[in-house]
Amino acid sequence: MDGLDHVMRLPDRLRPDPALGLLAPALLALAVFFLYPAISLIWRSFTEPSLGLAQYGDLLGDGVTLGVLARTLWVSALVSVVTLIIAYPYAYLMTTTGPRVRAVLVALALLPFWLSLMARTFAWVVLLQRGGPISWLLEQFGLHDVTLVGTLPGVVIGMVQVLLPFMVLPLYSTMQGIDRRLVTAARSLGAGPATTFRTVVLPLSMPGVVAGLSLVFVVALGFYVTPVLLGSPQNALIAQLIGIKVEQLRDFPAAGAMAVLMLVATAVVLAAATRMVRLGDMFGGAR
Amino acid sequence: MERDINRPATWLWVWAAATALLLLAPTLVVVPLSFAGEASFVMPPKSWSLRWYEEFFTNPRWRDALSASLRVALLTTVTATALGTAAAYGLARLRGRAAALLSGLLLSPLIMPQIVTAVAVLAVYLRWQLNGTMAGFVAAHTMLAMPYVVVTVRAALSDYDRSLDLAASSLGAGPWTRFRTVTLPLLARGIVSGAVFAFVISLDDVVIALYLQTPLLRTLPVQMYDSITVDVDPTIAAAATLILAVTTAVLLLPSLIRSKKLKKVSVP
Amino acid sequence: MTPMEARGASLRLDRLVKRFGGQKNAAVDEVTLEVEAGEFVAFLGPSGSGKTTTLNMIAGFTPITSGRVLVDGVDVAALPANRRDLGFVFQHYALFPHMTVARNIAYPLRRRGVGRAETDRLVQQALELVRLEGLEGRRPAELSGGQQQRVALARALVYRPRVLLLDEPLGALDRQLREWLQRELKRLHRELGITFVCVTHDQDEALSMADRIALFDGGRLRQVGTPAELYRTPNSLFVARFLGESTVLRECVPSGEGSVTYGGIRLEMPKEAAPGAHDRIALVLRPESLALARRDGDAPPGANAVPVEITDVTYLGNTRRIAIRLPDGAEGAVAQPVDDPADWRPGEPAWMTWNPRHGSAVPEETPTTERSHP
Repeated sequence: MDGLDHVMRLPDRLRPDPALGLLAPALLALAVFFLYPAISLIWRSFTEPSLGLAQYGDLLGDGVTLGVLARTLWVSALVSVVTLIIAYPYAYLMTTTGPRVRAVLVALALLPFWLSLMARTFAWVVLLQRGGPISWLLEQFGLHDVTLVGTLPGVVIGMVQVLLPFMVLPLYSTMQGIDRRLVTAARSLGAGPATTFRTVVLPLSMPGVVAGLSLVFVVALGFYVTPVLLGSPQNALIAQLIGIKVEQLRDFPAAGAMAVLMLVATAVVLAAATRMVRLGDMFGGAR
Repeated sequence: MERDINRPATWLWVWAAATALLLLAPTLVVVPLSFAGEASFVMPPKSWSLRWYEEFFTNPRWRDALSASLRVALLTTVTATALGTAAAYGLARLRGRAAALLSGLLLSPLIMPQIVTAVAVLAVYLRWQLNGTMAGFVAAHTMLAMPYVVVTVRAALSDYDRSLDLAASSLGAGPWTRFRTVTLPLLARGIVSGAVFAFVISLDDVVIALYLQTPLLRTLPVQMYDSITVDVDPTIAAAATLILAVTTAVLLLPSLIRSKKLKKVSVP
Repeated sequence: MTPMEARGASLRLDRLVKRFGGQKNAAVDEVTLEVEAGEFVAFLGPSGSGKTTTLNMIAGFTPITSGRVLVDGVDVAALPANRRDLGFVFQHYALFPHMTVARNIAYPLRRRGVGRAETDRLVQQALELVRLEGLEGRRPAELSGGQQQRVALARALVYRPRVLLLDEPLGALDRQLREWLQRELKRLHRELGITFVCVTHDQDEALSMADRIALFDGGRLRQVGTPAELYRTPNSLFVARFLGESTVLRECVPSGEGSVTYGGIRLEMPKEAAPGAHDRIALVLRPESLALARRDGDAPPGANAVPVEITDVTYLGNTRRIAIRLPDGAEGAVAQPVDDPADWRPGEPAWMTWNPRHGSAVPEETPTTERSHP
């Protein structure tokens, strides 16, 4: 019995791993309903109507796509920077207050997740409309007849609010890891509050800054509903253009080509961010 | 007298208050508008009523959208939780490059812009005649929701003490009994929060729903989208307020259950 | 003399009070203390006794509720921490993880606008001082605990502060390393001649390093003195119990000039250990001043004697620790040299004897020491 078992036993690496049995259903579903559609969309951008880069040539030469892509990158960068500026002091405060205030601040930061995306976008349509609360506010400062719905600033405001949690949370988790005693130490060594911030807090929070910026940037690149409802076709972003191609023209190969452009932009940003975070880890890693 | 050096500066509080207002702004608009008396999006409303709630529950367009959304979300919760939990459990047994590759693959729907997923899925669904079907909706939403289940269950698994498995085996439990009596109860919290995420993700999805919808199957976010773009219909505010209430309840559910359980334990 | 010469400053705490919001009792209650220039003072006490809060007020990390902190006669209470020019060594070192050892040490110099060449020179000097030459390029995470501690010392000393404050500086290290660093701290103190104030909850650390010990309890200073003074002549039961082991004879009643009665036994008292105006005192006896006798008559002439019961015998290298029980049930201990041939066994009766000069009288405390607030 023992001898037979010994002979029959397959080498370890050839025996099926039970883990694969558990993973198989999820991977199969993923392959059929996500990977295949995605790859097929990209494949079609290279093969239809004919094999080659014709789709890409058309897109880059149509005088619209390149401009929209540039606008998308610009808006995403602007949104990332604005969210950083708003979120950084907020996250910093979260790390310096007591547990009760912190709980309130965390709950507020998560609030955008609780209200559905449609509800939030709808709220911004109301807030930004002609004669709405924001334009009323601006009138108090002497700015009359400001319409923000249908403009890029309107899109940016809406996106910033929707994306704030994506910035607050990584910043907070990084800053929370900073030993408060380092601040005290810097003060005892002769640094004032501003210098302490510049030489200790800021460098140690850089991994969170890079993570937040890249997260917001990448999500912003693919934003669809907010720009559609708050912007206008004249200042469309790339996601809108993909939608238009499919909805109006059923031109999947062109949509696929745009998706590839967007994914390449995303991949470049993520790769750059990963390198920067690693660099930041080297600085702040010794915690 | 000098300040306590760890006390935050005043301007930080002012800044945080302004940020909090920005975060709160949509809620402050949506909730009052849902009680408006007139059919416009004017803030603040000139009169008050419950007519938009009545409209929401009586108008067949809203009612059908709500029921479609709930059916899709519940089915998605079941499939995403089952697939995601099994996958997370399998991932935990793998090491090295294979684990990194497979987990990257499982999380890839998170990175993909939703518009691309929507368009890609629509393209194949048109061929497979799945667009506008319940199965098609659930399959697509499962792809969006599964990564969240994988992440939460994996987090729960990372706290899980492997020697408990060995202990259960030594006490005579087979693999399935071990999973059912030891692993599952200990992972319950991670699985429940994954399921809650799956439900909320499905209920909230608008991009994929916009592309997969047909007049026969429209979800609530699609109806809300139409009520902004096609007709000015404050019912959306009532719908949004109700979703906010339900989401809050669902998100608070795990912590409520937890505190009850703790109370039970603490009373000997 | 070492290249890093710095003159120590005197430090004076004048009725220093810290009251945290919402708390009835002050965390630090009217602490007044003189520290001479160049002295090494240890703040000793149980946790929550106010010693760290006092140190933080000196450093400027915690606002002072009332009172004054004078450095060389100048009140620094209004100055923020970064302008007090004191050195501070933190319990967990608080080294900046994103900077190298050299940049950590250079940090206070850069804040003071010291030039590059001078900074490099001073950093090298500081590294030599703490014997860490060659590690300037490392990051804190790449150093051992003891090395980190010495970098923290170098960083706090490099700008030649006149007072160095240390908060449980060796608390996070294992025993061997701690003993070695205690000697290092003493060496630095000797070489630099600056004032050291060191917070610790470890009595051995305080006894071995400090010129004087300030013993804290409940936010108050209980006694200040040299280690020997505190050990030999504690002023209260608290001090006697906190520092070293002791046998305490409770409820002694003065019975005339230079004597008390303890449970009906008349005991001689040294003149200088006068019980004062107290009607009841406790007599504190250290193990090494006690001896044991088989019979009352075996006691040396003039010695006090109290009957006890042996409860345990433990060998401690060059002494035996003999645990005893007093007539009133209290526990005590006698240190017996190992070359003493007397062989004691648990359960045996004996007489505990001592020279009257070696006892110190402290005021008796009622079992409920908390004063009631009417």
